[in-house]
Amino acid sequence: MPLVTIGPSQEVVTVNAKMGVHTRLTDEVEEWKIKRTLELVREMGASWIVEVFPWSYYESQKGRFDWAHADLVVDHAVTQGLTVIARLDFVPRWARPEDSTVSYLEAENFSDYGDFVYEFAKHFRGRADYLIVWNEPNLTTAWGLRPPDPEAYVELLRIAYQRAKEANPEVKVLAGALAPNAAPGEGDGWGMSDLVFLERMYQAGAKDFFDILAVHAYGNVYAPEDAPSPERINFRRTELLREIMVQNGDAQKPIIITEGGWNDSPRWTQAVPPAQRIAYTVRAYEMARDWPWCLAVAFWAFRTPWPQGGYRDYWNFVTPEFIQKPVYEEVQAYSQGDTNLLE
Amino acid sequence: MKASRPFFHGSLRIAIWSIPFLLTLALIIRLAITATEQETDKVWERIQTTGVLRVGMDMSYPPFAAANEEGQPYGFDVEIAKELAGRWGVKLELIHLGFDGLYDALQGERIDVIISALPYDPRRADVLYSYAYFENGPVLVVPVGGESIRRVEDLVGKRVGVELGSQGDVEARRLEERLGLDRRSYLTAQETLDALAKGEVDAALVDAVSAYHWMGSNHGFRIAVNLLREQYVIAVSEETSKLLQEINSAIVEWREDGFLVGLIEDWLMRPD
Repeated sequence: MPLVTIGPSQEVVTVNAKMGVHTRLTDEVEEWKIKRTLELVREMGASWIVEVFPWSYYESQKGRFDWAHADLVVDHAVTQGLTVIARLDFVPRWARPEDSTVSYLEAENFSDYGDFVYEFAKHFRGRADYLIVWNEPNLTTAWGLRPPDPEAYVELLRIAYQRAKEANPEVKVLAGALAPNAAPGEGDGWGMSDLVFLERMYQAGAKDFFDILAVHAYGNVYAPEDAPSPERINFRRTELLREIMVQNGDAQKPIIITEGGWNDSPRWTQAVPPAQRIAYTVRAYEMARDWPWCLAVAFWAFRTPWPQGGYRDYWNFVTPEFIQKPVYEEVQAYSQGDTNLLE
Repeated sequence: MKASRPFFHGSLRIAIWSIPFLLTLALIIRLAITATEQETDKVWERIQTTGVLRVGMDMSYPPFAAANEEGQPYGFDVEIAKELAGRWGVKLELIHLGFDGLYDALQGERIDVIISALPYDPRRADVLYSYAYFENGPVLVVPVGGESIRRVEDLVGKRVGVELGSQGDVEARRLEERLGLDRRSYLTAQETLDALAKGEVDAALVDAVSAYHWMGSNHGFRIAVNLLREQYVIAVSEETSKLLQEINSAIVEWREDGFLVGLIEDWLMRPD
């Protein structure tokens, strides 16, 4: 008899159905921890999760797929009443040159990625029907340590979109997940402005190859209400990306915030005090309710399997040891109708 | 009839008698090896040879380390570094690094030690840590005199102020379930402590640095309990046993001669 069972189907009880979190279950080995994490997500009142499903983990050899761990995560999530958004990246060794990074993919191997997307969409049909194509392609580090290339990304997106729809016409393909980057113009050595990158995506014909734009909306040290500006990284930068969509005739297409939030490390200059983090997080969830074009907001990062060290541990809602931080409890109170933190 | 043989005889008896001798010999050899290791502590040798102690420090964390308008570093950790360099008769070179880059700089031999309000991290096996020179973490501040709160269990039914979202808040929520205390949230540690002064709460659960700072200008309060001891330590690389021994000797002396208490008074308790 298994030690951990999937259990009965659950429902998320919340006043805000747009609430979500980015989980980090890819490297979580023990099933009870996967289950407990997802139970806590539900109990916090969040309905959506974003999770990374590394291509290299599930297709370690061309054409050979092992979905065992991914099935665990997805099945537990679905049982908890959560909607799964799957981020698909991390190139396996066989699909890239030696000494290249996991984000390096030559155009000649785009079809290999397309094959993986096809198999994923087919295998998880009805269980994980939201797929993010790549992650932060406007960063050098996320594009194989090469200069970001919006046109090449659109070609990758086109292939992934078509293959995903072949496998499951109902699947929703998310593009972008661009890193907020206030560098002007074509950007600096680290990456290209997310605004410029998106504009160039449209110029390259991206419009026909995605259903939803994935956005990373980090608040930095600013309140969620802070006005958007191309020179500023803040939560409402999302609206600037939305404007570009509207200008390109994509007003009907929704956005999902697949990463974002505030950090409360005492040792990081881009963090805020813990009380501010709590208030900003709750207010940002609430703000999304007034954005009809925003389907969901998944903040980074619910819990990690082990401590990351330094400021990175201060994104969490729950510690690796499952201690619920005050931000968890306050967000939970909000999801159950407590409006104290909105005043 | 054959005489029975003694249990230990001949060479075996000699061998048994030899065990203490061999153990002693092994100990001497081990000590000699240790001494040799210490003598060959390359980092310590380099400090002595060059006459320079390179200290990695994040100078964006007052009152432990910061820089004034002229770029001159100051703070609790700066004084620790100066004292070490002075003690060893070498020149101090402070190298400003981001907090998350300190360990990499140590591993890359860019610095000799990390002195940067560095919390002891039991998960790191690739460095050596000194004895603690300061303890942060949530502490319970209460009025001197009046009703006594000497331990956590004394908080039953008491009003306890916390900074919302802080580690003190995490602890208070756990105690709230266990003891039934009355947790009251404030937006900052300062507001929490001010609430204590006004009598809105019976105790304040805040971080030690905030507590010391506030008590510097608000007399009549004391730290009753240190709930989670977050120990600030000095880190050196694995191969530097002699350097670590020298640092630990200094910290032991500083505890005894009042140097560390003096630093708390000078840097944490003095008014802005």
